[in-house]
Amino acid sequence: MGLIIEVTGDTRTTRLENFRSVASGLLSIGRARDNDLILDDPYVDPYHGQIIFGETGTWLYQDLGSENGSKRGKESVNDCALASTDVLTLGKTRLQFFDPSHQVAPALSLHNSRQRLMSFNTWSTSGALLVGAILTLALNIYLNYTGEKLDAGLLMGIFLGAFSLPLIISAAWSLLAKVLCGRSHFLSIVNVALLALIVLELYQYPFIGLAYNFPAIDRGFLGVLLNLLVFGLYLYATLLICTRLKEHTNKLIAGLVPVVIFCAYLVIQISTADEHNNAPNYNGRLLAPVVLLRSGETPDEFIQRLPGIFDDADELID
Amino acid sequence: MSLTTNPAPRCAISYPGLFALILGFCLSVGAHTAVALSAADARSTFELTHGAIYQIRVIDIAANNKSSTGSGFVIDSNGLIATNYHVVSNAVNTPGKYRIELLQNDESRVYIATVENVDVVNDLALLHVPELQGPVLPLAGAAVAQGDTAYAIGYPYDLGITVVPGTYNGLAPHSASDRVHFTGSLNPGMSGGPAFNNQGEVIGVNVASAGNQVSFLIPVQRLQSLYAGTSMGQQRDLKDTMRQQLVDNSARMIEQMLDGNWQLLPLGGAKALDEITGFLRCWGDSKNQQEQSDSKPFWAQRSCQTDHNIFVSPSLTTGKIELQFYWLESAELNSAQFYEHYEQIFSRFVPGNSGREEDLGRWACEDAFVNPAAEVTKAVFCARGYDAMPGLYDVLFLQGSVSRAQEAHIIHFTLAGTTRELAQKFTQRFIETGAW
Repeated sequence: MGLIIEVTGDTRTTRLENFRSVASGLLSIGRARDNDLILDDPYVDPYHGQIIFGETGTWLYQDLGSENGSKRGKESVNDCALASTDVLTLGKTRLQFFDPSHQVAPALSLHNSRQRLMSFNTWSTSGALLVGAILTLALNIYLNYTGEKLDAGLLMGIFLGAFSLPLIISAAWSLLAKVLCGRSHFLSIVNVALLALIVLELYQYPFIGLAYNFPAIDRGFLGVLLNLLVFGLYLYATLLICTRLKEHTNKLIAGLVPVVIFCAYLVIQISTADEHNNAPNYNGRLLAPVVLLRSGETPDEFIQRLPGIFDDADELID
Repeated sequence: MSLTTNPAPRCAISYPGLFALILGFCLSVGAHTAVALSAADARSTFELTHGAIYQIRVIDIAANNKSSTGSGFVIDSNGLIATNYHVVSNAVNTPGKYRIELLQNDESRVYIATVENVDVVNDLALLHVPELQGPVLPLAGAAVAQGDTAYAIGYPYDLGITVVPGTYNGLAPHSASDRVHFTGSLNPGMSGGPAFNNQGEVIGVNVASAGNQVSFLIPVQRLQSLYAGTSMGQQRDLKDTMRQQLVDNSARMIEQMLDGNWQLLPLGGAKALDEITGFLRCWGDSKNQQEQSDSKPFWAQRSCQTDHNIFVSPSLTTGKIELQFYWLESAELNSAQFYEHYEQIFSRFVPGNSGREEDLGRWACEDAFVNPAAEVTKAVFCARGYDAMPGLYDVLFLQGSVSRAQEAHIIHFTLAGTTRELAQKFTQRFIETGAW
């Protein structure tokens, strides 16, 4: 004999009420202060309904002629029997009934990926990541500087431009998390975005260096593929934080979205590849001599490639 | 038809004050005597010759009206008419869409002409009208001297037959194909018309104008060789004739370059080729004073090219040869920054001629690291074929040093309308000479 009620209010806050034994065999529910279960909901009547405990441990719910009525599941009810895990809605408040013998799930590990991501939310982490992101961006600007005149306003503009988009996107995710889970997780989301930004900035250096030395891998789509991989991981992490979707749904979304983007990219590339252009599209990549680790071929070897290029040109006449 | 092949007036430095002075002088002093004299000669030349000069109209068959006009003249009693290739190029390239009509000032009779032969390199065409009667113009045998008066006749802007007196100024000295420099105003529509000496003999064919009385004629010798090589009534594949002419012309020019002067002259901290042969004219440039206030690398460049493209159709030009040398150095940028700038320059080379998708294939390119001597360079070679002219290619070659921290040297050439063998031969020589 006993009853546990999970009360979820309009604001999605939840509390558990435990009624071990009710002497009168009657549990009154309503907004009035002398009820057994007080519901602070303006859409609930002062004396809205009551639960009658039967001899054999059954629960019977009775509506007391309330203004807005009561619902079990989705059907309106006046009198009904309740079983464990049944849900009643009174006004805008949701009541779920449990028998004390109800089995609950074992504890979640504090080390699961969602928890780890959500606890990635300290200000010190944010600070470190922000400094890291600023440094990588500064490195990028430094390496790409080719002698133009610089002023503080321009630099400020570049930095603001670079950080405002991740910030806006994070804010949007955060709003989604607030709606879906009741908590915004803003810091965790921003931190994940900053981390993705740093990875995006940094991975290109080894990749470009490698591509320069081995022109065979110097293809545009490889770079796009790597970018999308980082994007997919970012999407997965953010989905874990912001939604309560099942793990494999998250994985599916995080995998599918970059794949779809990549396919669209390939379609555009292939459809524009046939377009006539007076300017040849050659590989003009040049990097500082320290990055060049390989030696070249002799001029004669290069001359011997020319017939092959003419053969290719013959193929490209349409 | 407008006069299409305008040699770009590069580096046109003018001195307004001086110009006004000379102009005023000429007008006031020369007005009475010179004009009076040339008017008499112009009139007699006109009276002697105009019966053999026709307006050429290229008629769009579907629209049943003229789409372009030019001029032409009779050179043979069998009804052969000389004109510019560019006047009738539409009728050559799309014969089903156009027909060629000839008529004179009174527009009393219209003749239908067919294209008998063309010389695309020298921009000449011979048309045939079997039933044509009337006078034939004599082609000059003797040379004209610089300063002699010459008379160009044609139908400018559909305005009726017009005589333009001017001065013969010899062959343009650095032209890719022979051109007479004629000082007189040629205008659109006069293309293909004759120019006479004061005996009324044809000395050239009107072809192009660069404005301000600077005009060009095709020397009559070119017309004579085309005429001599044209036997009447012979079936000719004009496309293939043109292809062969372009191949021969490319061979002539590239052989002339290979026999030229391959001496290297300083360019910034490097050495580069200069005017290898007469038809390649070089111009130089370097970073200017205003730019020097920023920290961008210092650059100096030399660019050498032929003076005009060969007109094949309104959308396709070819025959251009360009050589370019670029020196870059920086003391202020570090190696990574310098190469970022260098890459931007290296990635933007384009050929000097152009065509539509219907005329040209797409580019095939390959790049590699090449080690000439002690230097490491990046070399790029691109080629594209011609749709209607098999065996003809545009070629773009690019080579830049990649082993020096803060300086670089780029060498580049484009050969438009050449063959595999010629391009290969030239590339080999170019890489060997190098300048590294």
